[in-house]
Amino acid sequence: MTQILIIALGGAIGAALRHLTGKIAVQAFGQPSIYTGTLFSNVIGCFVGGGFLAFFTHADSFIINTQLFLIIGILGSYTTFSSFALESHQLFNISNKDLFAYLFYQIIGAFGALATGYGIVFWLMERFIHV
Amino acid sequence: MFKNVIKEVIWVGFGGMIGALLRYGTNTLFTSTFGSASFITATTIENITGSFLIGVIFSFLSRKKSPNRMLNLFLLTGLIGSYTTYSGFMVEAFVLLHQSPLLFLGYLCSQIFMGLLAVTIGMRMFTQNRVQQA
Repeated sequence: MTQILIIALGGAIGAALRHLTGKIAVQAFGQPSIYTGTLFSNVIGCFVGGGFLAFFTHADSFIINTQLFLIIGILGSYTTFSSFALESHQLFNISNKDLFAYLFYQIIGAFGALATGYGIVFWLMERFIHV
Repeated sequence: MFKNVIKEVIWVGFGGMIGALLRYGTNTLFTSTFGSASFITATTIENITGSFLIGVIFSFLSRKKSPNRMLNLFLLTGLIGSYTTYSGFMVEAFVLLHQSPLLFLGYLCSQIFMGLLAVTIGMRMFTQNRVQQA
């Protein structure tokens, strides 16, 4: 029961933050643009997710509920695959050049962000906590 | 303006709550049925079904004469947006990279291709139904 409440709360926070990220992206880059809220949410979310991955796999004895709240709840909802697929589909009908750039940022950008987040946290932990 | 943003956040948050719970339910069901597989995971299932659903719901909502913005936010941004996940997808890809680069590439490309295909099928299916009805 506790787990369900924790995930519900995390999911609501993550989705709300994603919506606000989208509003900021529209303010900054206008519409239509390949720099969408989905792109920023996914890249930022993967960066943080990489950090969490390093932290939770190398620091044992962490409460499972904290992981559920942060990873499944907030990050899981903050990032999204369905809007990514929908936006790619829309670009596919408009411009191949834009589609290629969008996919590049989404895939290479998010993966690079994840590896960077992982690397930073791993390095910090090795240096300061000596895992 | 500010009041409107609060209203939007509430609708998106409500949808996000349901989407995250459905994702967690799918995760639990998948692991108890198939164990912890590495190539086709619960995330794969969620992302592909979610992409199909966003195609169907998006084309349905965009054909409505008077679009209801809050319903769009609740269903698309909130519910389906939270049901699917990108961080989980990338983390799984990252873990696969440690096993084999080939498996990593296969996982990444197949899921993206399947997601795009699912959106397209979802949209086409709805359009064809409309044509048949008319």
